[in-house]
Amino acid sequence: MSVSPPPPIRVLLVDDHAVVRAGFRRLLEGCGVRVSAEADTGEAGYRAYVDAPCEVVILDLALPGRGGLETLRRLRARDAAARVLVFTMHDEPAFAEQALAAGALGYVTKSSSPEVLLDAVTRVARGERCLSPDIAERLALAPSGGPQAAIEALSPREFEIFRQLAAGHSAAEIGERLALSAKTVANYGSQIRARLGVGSRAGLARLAIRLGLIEA
Amino acid sequence: MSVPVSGRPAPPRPGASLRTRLLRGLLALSLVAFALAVTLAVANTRHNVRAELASSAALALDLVDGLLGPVPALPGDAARRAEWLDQLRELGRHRHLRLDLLAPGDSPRWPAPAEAAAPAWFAALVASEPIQFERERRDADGTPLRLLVRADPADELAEAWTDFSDFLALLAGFALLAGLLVWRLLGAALAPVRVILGGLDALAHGDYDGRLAPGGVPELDRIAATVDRLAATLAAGRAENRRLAGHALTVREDERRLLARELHDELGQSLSAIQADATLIAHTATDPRHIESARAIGATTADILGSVRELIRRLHPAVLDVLGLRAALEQLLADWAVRHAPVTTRFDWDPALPERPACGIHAYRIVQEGLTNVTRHAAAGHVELRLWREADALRLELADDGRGCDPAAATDGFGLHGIRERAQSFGGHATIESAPGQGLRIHVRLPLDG
Repeated sequence: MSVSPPPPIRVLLVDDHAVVRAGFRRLLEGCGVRVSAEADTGEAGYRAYVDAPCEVVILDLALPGRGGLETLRRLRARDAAARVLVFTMHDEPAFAEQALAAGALGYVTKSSSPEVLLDAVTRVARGERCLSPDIAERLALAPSGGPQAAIEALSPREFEIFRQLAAGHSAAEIGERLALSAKTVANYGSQIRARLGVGSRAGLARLAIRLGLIEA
Repeated sequence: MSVPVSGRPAPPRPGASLRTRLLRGLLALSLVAFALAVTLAVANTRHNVRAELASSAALALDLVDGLLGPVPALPGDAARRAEWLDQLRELGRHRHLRLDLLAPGDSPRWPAPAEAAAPAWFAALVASEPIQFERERRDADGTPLRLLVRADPADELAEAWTDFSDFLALLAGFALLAGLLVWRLLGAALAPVRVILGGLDALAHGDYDGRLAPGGVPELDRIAATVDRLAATLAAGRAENRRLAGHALTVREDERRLLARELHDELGQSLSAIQADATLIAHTATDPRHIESARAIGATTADILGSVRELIRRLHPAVLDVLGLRAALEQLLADWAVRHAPVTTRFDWDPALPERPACGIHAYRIVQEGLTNVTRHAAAGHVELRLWREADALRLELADDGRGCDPAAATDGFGLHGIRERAQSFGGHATIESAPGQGLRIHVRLPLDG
């Protein structure tokens, strides 16, 4: 009796460098991942995803035109379940915070060992959050943007909304899950930010990562 | 600490001002005039007093001789003689004459000399003793008698002193008035000079904006106009210098940004592609030598990538371009805090500020420089960075609670000079506020449209 192997993970590779795309396509396909499509701009990547959805989008941040972060937001707006793995040269935690706040599941720097990318593709395909070690370390070290005590003072509902906002989910998604209107969720959101003294969703994400509330 | 300047003569010691010198001369002249006046007056008075006294005394004697009859004899006619003597002394109720008649064995009975109204030093200088004349007489009995006439100089002295002191007062008054006049006249005449000196002083302190008001003296007004032109030239030169410095800084930042982007876009990407292939070979090769080579390529590439990444970071903050000034500063401060634990930090950002102001890179560099300064000198426990909008300007304040310094003494070598220059090059300004033990506070204002 033979068990059929699991279908390969399908990946969309969005990067403006042909050399990078070629290199990583060879690596991914050599390691059992199927690169179903490639794109060299954010717009092309978005269209490719709409045409043929895949398990993981590997997305560079430095893209000509619309740029990586904006493409990420559009992908997530189009498909709240899109699993995006940001793969970039930018190693500043601020980028990671922005990417996570915009709904990316993974963030891997291009200077990481390629094994880290392979591992991240697998984990993101399973819906897990994954950061390359350099970013995870710097995010964890970053000084707190809000007090722990304030988090503990949140009600269970506020806490759940805080966690999901930090994980990058939109107000509409959270409202659907918690049976609330998007407007109510948004109100909760600004209330939570005020109580935690955090100015942005990126700040919420960083706080949540620091406190181990969302996986690095 | 003074540094010797070679090849230049030491500047002359600052002397007394023109006004003081003139006044000193005037005072000396007055004193000489005083001394001369006193000498002359004393000599004259001495001569006059003596002549006056001598002639008065001689006159008196002649008068006594002629007016009064023979002196009555004593024993027989005591009452008459006393009357005669009273008459005689009555004659002496003269201003400064005293008369007396002495029998043998009598001593003169002079009334106490009149208290001279002149000061003792004047009397001493004039040195006039009472002048005394005497003449032999006999009374009716033929008893020999001495008739004494004494001339007292007190009145003469008093009179001379009155004249003399009036003259001295006049002289003193004149000297005082002359001094006042010189003081006022010179003050008025030199007022434009003081204005010019003030202007030059301002120039020396780098204030090129003041203009000197004309003072009404044509020669000095020409000097003032020249000083104004000098100030204008210096101001234009400084403005040009700042513009050039600003331009140089902008060009440098642009180049650094381009270089960073090039490294990021080309070198970095290609290196990561090489890594991917090296990893693939390491995973799929069967020959152990190939696997080893592929791993070596991967490791070396990773090293180079690390260096490139560090280089990019040092050249230009990518966060600034992509995410804006706020995120870039937040990141900068957070990274700094991690390297300098347990220093605590606080960051305040005014949402009224644009996320990507044109002066962003300069604000970033100023904060970078300020933080380097804190690292080097402050030994701080807490650092606060605050940015807010004020009309059309970005305001920035970086404060620490470290050991501080005397800002006037320590601007060089503290990187604070560079901060000031950078701010000024872009039409803003920077001030440093500190005192030993009081921490240090850098205030910066940068125009938002610049």
